Amino acid sequence: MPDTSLYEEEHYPTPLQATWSEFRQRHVAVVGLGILIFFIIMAILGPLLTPFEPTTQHTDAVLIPPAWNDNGSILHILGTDALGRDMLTRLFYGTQITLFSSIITVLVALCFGVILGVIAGMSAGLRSSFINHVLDILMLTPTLLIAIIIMAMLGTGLTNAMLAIGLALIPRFVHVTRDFVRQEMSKDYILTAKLDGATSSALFIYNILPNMVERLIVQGTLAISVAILDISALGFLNLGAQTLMPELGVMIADALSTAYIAPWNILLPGLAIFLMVLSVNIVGDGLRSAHRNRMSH
Amino acid sequence: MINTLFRFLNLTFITLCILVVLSFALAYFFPGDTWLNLFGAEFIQDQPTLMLVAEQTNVLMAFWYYIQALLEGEWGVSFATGNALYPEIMRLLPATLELSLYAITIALVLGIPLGFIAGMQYHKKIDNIFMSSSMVMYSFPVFWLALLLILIVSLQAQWLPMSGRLSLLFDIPHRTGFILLDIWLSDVSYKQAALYDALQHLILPTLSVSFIAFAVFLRTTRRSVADVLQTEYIKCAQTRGLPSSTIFLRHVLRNALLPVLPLLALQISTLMTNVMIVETIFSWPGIGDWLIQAIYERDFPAIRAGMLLVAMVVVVMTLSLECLSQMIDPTRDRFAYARH
Repeated sequence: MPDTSLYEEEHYPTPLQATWSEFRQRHVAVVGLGILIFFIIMAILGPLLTPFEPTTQHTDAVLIPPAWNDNGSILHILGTDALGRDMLTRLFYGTQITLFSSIITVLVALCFGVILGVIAGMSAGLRSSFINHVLDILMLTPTLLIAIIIMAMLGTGLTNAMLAIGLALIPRFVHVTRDFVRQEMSKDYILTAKLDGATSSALFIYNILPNMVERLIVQGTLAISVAILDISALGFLNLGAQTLMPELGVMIADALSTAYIAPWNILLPGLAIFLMVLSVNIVGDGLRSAHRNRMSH
Repeated sequence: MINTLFRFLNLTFITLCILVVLSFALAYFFPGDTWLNLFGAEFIQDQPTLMLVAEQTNVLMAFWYYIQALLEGEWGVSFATGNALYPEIMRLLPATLELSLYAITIALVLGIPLGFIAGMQYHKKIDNIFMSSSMVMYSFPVFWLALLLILIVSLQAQWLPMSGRLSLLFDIPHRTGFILLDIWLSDVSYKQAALYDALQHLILPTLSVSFIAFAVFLRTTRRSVADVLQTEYIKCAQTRGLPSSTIFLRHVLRNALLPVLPLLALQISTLMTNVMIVETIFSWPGIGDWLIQAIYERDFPAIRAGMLLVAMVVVVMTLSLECLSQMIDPTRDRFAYARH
């Protein structure tokens, strides 16, 4: 039965819905989101799909090329490495480790960054300038240098690599938060809330944070791509995840000794990193454009 | 202007002081004996009295000794090689600077003009092609890119050498540390051949570093050109009937270039990380390769000294670029994030 109440049907999309409908109009961004979701699903379900363990060494099947090659075997679809470990299995586990450790790193950095940013944005004078000085140094120091210092103090390992990259990511979030908080604090709706007697923390949680969520999502997405690149780079340099762990960067470093006779062991993990970073970047870029378009309407 | 200059000198000084304090503190945080970490074993064997003095003094006095030693060029002795660190670092630094300089030059020379083309064609075909390819370019992990180049260009095609700075056949006396300059200044008979060989060694590392920087510069320039094109003063100039070449040269070019300089400053630290990774892969004898070797060997004095110097170089370069952009455009917020 057709609905006759035309006027009541009018529907105002929430900000998130509006951004989503802007985002959906970009086909490339939707494809990027599809690839990203594919990687996330593979990272979660992959270990259930494969019959092998990532560390099992098949000594009868060493350096087998991928299945489409003449010498390939259908048992190991993407081939095996120099120790006879199944490539596809290791890619599943590697995606899981690299992707999820990057997401966790970014989430932790985001929490600390927002807290510091709010403190810097709402305070003035010495405290604010101290935070800014320390953050400037942190931001100017190359990530690899921070990582080297942390490795020297605490030893190598995936957790320490995440710590180093998290430290290097914090200033991004602090800058976004601080600038936004400064800009909003001078607006009238904040003044109204202040006149109602809201404390600083209430101001932030109820008034500023809801307006900032979208910016944080955009920044967070772009930070994930940086984190993936850095975690795999540290793994490659043998400073992050250690040799036994099937992290994608570590897998490339392991394959270096057989690079000439088995190039697929370098190509496939690298391709996985590249596609992950590319899809995250496309999604982040699409979100940023969608946000910008929505704000300009 | 003098005010700005003074403020930035002050900022640089404070930042360098904080770095020195941090490097001193690192010796306490690293595992092992603090004074061994600061100066290395041989140095302390040579001067046992200093060791005795050090053990009796408090932290502040120790810091005072440390600063004095730093200023005198006594940066300590490496655990692994037993060499004095300061001359060793100074020998390695030019190689890193050389690589970064060439990479950043190529990225700038190609990235900014192409960014202008893309920005002028905003949301048209050329722009879309440039934007999508630059997105693909900056998603490349730098170490994978370097390995791919080695696999394809060096191993399969055998066009270019895959490691080092210069073929071992050539013997070039060390003068400035910049290899091309050294060859130019030297008076050997095989100058031409050595220059050609050095250039061949340079191509792959420079390409891998500049690949990513190029994409970032292109995107920033394009964004800022597109922003400028949407402003009222451009529309006004168009209504006045100015030819598009005049509009471009007089209004777009200079205004769009302003935000690019501070972005360059922000990119230095990313560039440094990429240079260090690429150095390890191509066995480029620079400070990045050396530092990563030092961490494998747990060479704490080397890590401390190398970290201090690299951080100092990056800080001084970034802050001077910041200062320059502030002087050119006084209205700009300091450290405001540039978009790309």
